[in-house]
Amino acid sequence: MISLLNIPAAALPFIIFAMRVSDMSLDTLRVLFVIRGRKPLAWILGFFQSLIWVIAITSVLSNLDNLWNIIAYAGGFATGNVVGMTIEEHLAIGHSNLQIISSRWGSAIAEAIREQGYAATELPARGKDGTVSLISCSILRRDIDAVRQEVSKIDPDAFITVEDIRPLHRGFWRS
Amino acid sequence: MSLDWSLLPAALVPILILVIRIGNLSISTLRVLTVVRGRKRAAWALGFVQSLLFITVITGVFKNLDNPLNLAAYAAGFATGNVLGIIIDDRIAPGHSLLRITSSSHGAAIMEALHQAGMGATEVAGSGRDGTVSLIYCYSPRRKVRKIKRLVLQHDAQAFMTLLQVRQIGGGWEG
Repeated sequence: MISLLNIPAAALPFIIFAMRVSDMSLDTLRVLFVIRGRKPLAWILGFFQSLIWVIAITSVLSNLDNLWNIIAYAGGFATGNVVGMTIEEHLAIGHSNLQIISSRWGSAIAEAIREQGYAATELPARGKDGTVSLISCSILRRDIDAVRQEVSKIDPDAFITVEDIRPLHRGFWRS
Repeated sequence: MSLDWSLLPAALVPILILVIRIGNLSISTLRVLTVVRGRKRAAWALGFVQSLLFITVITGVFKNLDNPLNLAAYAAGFATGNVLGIIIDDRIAPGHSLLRITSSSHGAAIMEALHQAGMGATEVAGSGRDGTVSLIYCYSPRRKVRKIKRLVLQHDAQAFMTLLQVRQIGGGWEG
């Protein structure tokens, strides 16, 4: 495919590392998109990922005498994996549901969330020491930090968990 | 890797391929699970080791293509390692889960028991087919889920329990 024969041996580990970083970031992104059911994106990423991978694995297998090639291959794999995770976090595609439990500031939190333009549903609930509020709030994943900050301003002790969800019908997604 | 496959007796080759491939794939499965949970450091370390094992085993297969047993060992190692990875993850059980317990008339007793066991739990009143039910949310380390299940069943053998995969982003306490 691409001839790596005329590349100086000293440069080969770096090229292998770079290829592995790119194909593994694509692969990690692909896995995370597969989980969220994004088919066209998964196809495109899968295609380019395996294309780069075939080139990288061929260069390693035909140059096994140099240990650095193998270390570069494995190091690139590990690093690309983490790069892919970081990219995916920044893209933050998809939807999440926040569940917020606050012992005393439930209505203030719900009010503040709504003022920011997100939707919130408040339920009365009971904890160990009496009445608490449970607030359910479905938002775009990329808005998680904004809502978390808003909640912490009012009740730093509020207990917040995030769950990935898929929207099924309607909902109020601030865009 | 620097393993010289030509020095091995031919009978040992399939066994070694099987063993390395099992190690390779169980680590790979664990890595995918860390990626999904967003644990970058673990993902890097597992990715590095996985990749080294892969290079070692794939070299062995390509250099010994004359024996079909080697190919079978490679495939069997893949399948076995995959399942083994799931089992290992179940045993180590890193991270937390959100338990949702629905109980028709023993909500208060379950709440009491959970709090005594040092778990945080929040109860919401709901209505089911035959009247009021309790919906209890309990955030717990995955390792303790089985213990909690037993505890809940002691108080209500009919309790309905589901597990949600969540991430915690603020507050909460652990006994």
